[in-house]
Amino acid sequence: MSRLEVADLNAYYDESHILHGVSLTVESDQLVTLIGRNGAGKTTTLNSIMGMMPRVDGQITFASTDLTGLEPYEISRQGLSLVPEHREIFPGLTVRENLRMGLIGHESETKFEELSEQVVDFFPRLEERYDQEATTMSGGEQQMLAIGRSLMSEPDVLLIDEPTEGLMPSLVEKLRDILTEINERGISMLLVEQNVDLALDISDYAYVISEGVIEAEGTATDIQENEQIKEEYLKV
Amino acid sequence: MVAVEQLGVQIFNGLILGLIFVLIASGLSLIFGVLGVINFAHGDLLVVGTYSAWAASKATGSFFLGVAVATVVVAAIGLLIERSMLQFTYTRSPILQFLLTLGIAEILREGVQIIWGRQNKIFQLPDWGTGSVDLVLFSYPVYRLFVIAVTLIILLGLYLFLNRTDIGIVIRAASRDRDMTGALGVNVERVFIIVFVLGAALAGIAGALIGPIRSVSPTLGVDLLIPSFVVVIIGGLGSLRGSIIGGLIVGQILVLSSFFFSGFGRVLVFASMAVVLLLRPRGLYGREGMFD
Ligand SMILES: Nc1ncnc2c1ncn2[C@@H]1O[C@H](COP(=O)(O)OP(=O)(O)O)[C@@H](O)[C@H]1O
Ligand SMILES: [Mg+2]
Repeated sequence: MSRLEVADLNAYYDESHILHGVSLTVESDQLVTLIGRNGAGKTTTLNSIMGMMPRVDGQITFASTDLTGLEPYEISRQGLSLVPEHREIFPGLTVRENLRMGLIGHESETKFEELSEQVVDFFPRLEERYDQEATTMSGGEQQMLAIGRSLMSEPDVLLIDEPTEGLMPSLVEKLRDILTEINERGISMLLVEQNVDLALDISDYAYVISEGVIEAEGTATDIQENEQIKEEYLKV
Repeated sequence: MVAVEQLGVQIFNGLILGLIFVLIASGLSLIFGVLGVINFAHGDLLVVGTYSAWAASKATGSFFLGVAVATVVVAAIGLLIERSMLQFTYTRSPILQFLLTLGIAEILREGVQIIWGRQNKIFQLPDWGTGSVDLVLFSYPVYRLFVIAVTLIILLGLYLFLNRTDIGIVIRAASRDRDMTGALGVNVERVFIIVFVLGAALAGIAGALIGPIRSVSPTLGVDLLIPSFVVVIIGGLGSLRGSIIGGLIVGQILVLSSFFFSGFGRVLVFASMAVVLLLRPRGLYGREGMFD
């Protein structure tokens, strides 16, 4: 059905060849994680799927639609949404306006109030801050807003890049539960994390990337129990 | 008493000039903020506005029809420029955009002279605008009061558009982060078109409104564009609030300085720009990271 499939993906920045034949699949409703050390190519993979790399080749399909060569806005309208590494909350816009931005590009039947209510269910803190300029919020709150903004477009797949980065431990725990719950509501997820234990803990399936190459894959438990993989590609 | 009267009139004249600068500068600033293009054709878009308002109001006998025609014509030329040329330069060198907009400026300025001749024209005040209103301390021409009112209404409308409508939110978002705006499902190319056409329309209206105050001349655009760039720099690139404050300051400096000691206006404008830049390198409301 609505599976996301990446096949033999190469990505480049000018002269540097960053991804070398990356292949991965996110089945519908699955929570899949992509883990690996800093600089391994995780962000590049998500950006490639979202159509945001200057040059890629390979095949990216979602629900039988070929996404290769589409503009980011077209990919977004196909039902994919990126929660980017540095949150990329719009400065100068309020929390409410940032949420609206998730919705405006989509010809949605559902109203802002209805959608934002669901977001606020997950992140009650946001509602208190609706009219505040969004970038004056704490890092944790901005992360919630970034996820909420993506949810406003009612995506089928969330591409989410290091959501726990820089968060307090108590928030990390909370976010873990929220990610699980979002997934349980039928949104598939490709989760990039530095926090390997957390990622494997909540994922169905995992890919391990190193220097732009997928070096291992398997169920989260398989990877969790494979000391050799952890030693070679994941230990910092 | 005479001095107070004259001073009052000059302050109002400065206000008008300032508000015209604000119309020009907010277009420049919006276009730069969203498209990343410094539009050197902006002054000559204004000139096209002045000429077409003059021609249309002369032909129809209606000043308002003239303003409407000017706005539509200049907006349409803006659309043509963006679609036929500018859109191909966004991912290329800024030097290309510089040369392109400079070339378009020349074409527009020559174009109006080819169509309407090289002589300056006199733009008659509309009949209803010929009298004066007694403002207690001094009396002031009706047409000029009308211009003040109309520009204030336009600026209020622009503010509401940018802050209360979905397109306005998208424009503000795109001026901060184009890539993220696109990733959220917004066709940024369309936003670019809207912003360029909007900026052009503002220049067209400004050109039409100032016509009956200044003579209709092909150099009007250059005369107004240079101080308008100063306005944008003083106010801070990409900031509407900055353009408003900057425009009002520069308008007053130009008019009042020539009132007290004639001839120093331009010098003082550039001096004030230098002072602002020394104290605040990004201008009064320029945002951090704009040039990072
Ligand atoms: N804008 C860029 N230009 C050139 N190289 C880049 C750029 N961004 C990232 N890279 C390189 O691409 C590689 C992968 O980066 P990235 O995908 O961000 O890694 P990760 O997200 O796994 O930490 C790194 O070697 C990085 O140096
Ligand atoms: Mg990364």
